[in-house]
Amino acid sequence: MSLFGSTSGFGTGGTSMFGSTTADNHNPMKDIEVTSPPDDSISCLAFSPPTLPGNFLIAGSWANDVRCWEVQDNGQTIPKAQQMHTGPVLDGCWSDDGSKVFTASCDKTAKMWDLNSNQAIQIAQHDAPVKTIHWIKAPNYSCVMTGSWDKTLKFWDTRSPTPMMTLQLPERCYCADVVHPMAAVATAERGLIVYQLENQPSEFRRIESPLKHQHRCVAIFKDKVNKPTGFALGSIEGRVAIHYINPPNPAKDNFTFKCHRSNGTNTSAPQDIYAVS
Amino acid sequence: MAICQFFLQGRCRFGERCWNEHPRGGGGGRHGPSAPHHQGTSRGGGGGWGTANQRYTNVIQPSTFKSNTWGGSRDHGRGFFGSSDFGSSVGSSRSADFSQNRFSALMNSQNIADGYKDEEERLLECVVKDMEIWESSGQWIFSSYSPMKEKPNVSGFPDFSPEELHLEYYNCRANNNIQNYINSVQQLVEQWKNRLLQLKALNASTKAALLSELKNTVTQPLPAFGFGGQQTSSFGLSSFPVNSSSNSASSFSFKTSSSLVSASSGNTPAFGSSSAGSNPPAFGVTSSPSVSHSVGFGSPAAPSASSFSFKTSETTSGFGTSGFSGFGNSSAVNSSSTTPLTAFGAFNAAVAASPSHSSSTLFGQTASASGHNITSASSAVTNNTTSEKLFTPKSELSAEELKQFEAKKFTMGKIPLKPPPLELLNV
Repeated sequence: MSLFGSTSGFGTGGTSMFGSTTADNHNPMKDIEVTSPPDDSISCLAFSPPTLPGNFLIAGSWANDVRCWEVQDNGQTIPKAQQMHTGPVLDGCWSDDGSKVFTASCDKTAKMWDLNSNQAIQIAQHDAPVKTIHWIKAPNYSCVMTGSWDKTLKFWDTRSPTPMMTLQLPERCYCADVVHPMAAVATAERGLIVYQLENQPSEFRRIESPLKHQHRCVAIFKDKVNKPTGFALGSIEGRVAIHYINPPNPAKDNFTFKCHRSNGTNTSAPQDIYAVS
Repeated sequence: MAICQFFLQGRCRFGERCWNEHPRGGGGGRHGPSAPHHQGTSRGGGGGWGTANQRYTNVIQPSTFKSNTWGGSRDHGRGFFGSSDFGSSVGSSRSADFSQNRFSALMNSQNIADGYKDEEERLLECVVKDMEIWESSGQWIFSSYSPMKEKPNVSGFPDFSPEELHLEYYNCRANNNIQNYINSVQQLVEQWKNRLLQLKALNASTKAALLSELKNTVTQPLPAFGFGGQQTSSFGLSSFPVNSSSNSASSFSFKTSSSLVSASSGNTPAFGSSSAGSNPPAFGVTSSPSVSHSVGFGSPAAPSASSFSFKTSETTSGFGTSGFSGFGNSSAVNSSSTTPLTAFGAFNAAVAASPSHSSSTLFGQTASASGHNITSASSAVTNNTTSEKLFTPKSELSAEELKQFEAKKFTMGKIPLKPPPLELLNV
């Protein structure tokens, strides 16, 4: 997963200025706007994985829906389909073969949307809104990982109504990222846990947060041999911490920096940091 | 003046010639009365030492720190003695404590107890600065906070993410409860502001509480705040009688403005109000009854949009401090559970006395019986932890070390590396 930019690394053309604003300085960058955008704030975006021919973009929104567009090479977008939840959609992701989209919502469920048949079925249930959802493809298993504000992380085989595994989190899950075989989850109260996903998911290490404030988003990065080696963690104050799991030189290699500085005190809104994922 | 990082690590190559500030830490203010007298000699002495052994550079300047005599030298841009105003009032209050201290001869001796003082002062400074930044920037206020990376979270700052608030607003909007949402948010903002001001001002009891918290490896469970049953901290969760659906974060009271509703570009939560009557969260150990009375916060209908850019200055004008009184005590109460452990000899006595007395009344007020259990539990836990860290029991000291501690001054080369025993501290 690229560190900056869309989650599946396929950013051809189709970025857009989202939102339902009608502000005047709308689109100063002359980005291409997506046709028929959702009616409320966008909570998540994902491009389809490279295994799928063509580029598709899904976006979940606070209007309880998740929409899918086909993005053409010239940047034009064609709305394809949409699915509804009964609560705002907080996160979405693609399966590795691009045939399914998983969506997590405030209605405490997660659904699997089969794009070919345009059917969505519920695959997960939590006690509180589901904040993050990721598809895990391991050599010997594949599943969906959902993190929720009920302080649990659950792993679901999409065929079964009970989770394959449930892991307790110290606090509400705020953000997560998965790059096999590593998963990083950041929670409320500055909690940070790394999991290893070989064989079966298990907690690998709890890490002291290098940041002073609430965690906003996390993204795993890889090293030269394409293995996940660390993660970037953003907080609400605009600071990002880069943290290696097993650094050769811990004092030197782990560092934090402030993004999006402007003159004077840090004025980064959470949204800016949200984009670092 | 920038604080010299190398100095803080004890290895500044420039010593007194360093252009950055070498904060005095706990060494500030000893020998107050002799300040002016030493001025001249210490400079010379400093020079001699500077080259020889960087670590002891500051050693030679006894006195002087209490005074402003060094203010001038700092302004020359060479602030090597610059610690006189070293940040906050913390420095000066400390100087008062240590003027009689037997460690008087050596400013920044490598004594571990001194090391603690330095770190504490730095932490406190850091907290104050962070509070200032937090207040003035428009960043998200409902965030946990900790002054340094390995430290536990400072109490009184529960975490709420924007999405949670956003959802809360939507729920309330669906139930036509926007006013409640507004109220809840207002309250939370108020509480945040109060805690922030408390930390910025840093009077004695807050300081003691803060430091004991920070040293404490047992992170106190966080107050269960507005969001219904979401947070299971035992602190006062039981005092949430009214929350209807414990799952949906429906017990908020948030302030908002109707004008914000439209501005929902991006993810800015357009806050509405929340479900009502929620007993405002038993915040920390504040008694929930007292807090709930403060619901009538001035002008809930005053929708300053600015409240949502989180510059809360305008909004707090009408707000009473009724909910706050419990608060002020709460930090003191916290510290009572960890009293023996703070390094502040002087503070110990003061802090210990009052809260232990008031704690019963305060907890009497809180609806949550769990409050009791928690402090006793935490006090039990914490009693064991830090007692070894700061003071060495006499039995562990060698005869030589004991002699050193008992002498009026340390002899160079024989300074014990262990912290002094509690008994010998003269406060």
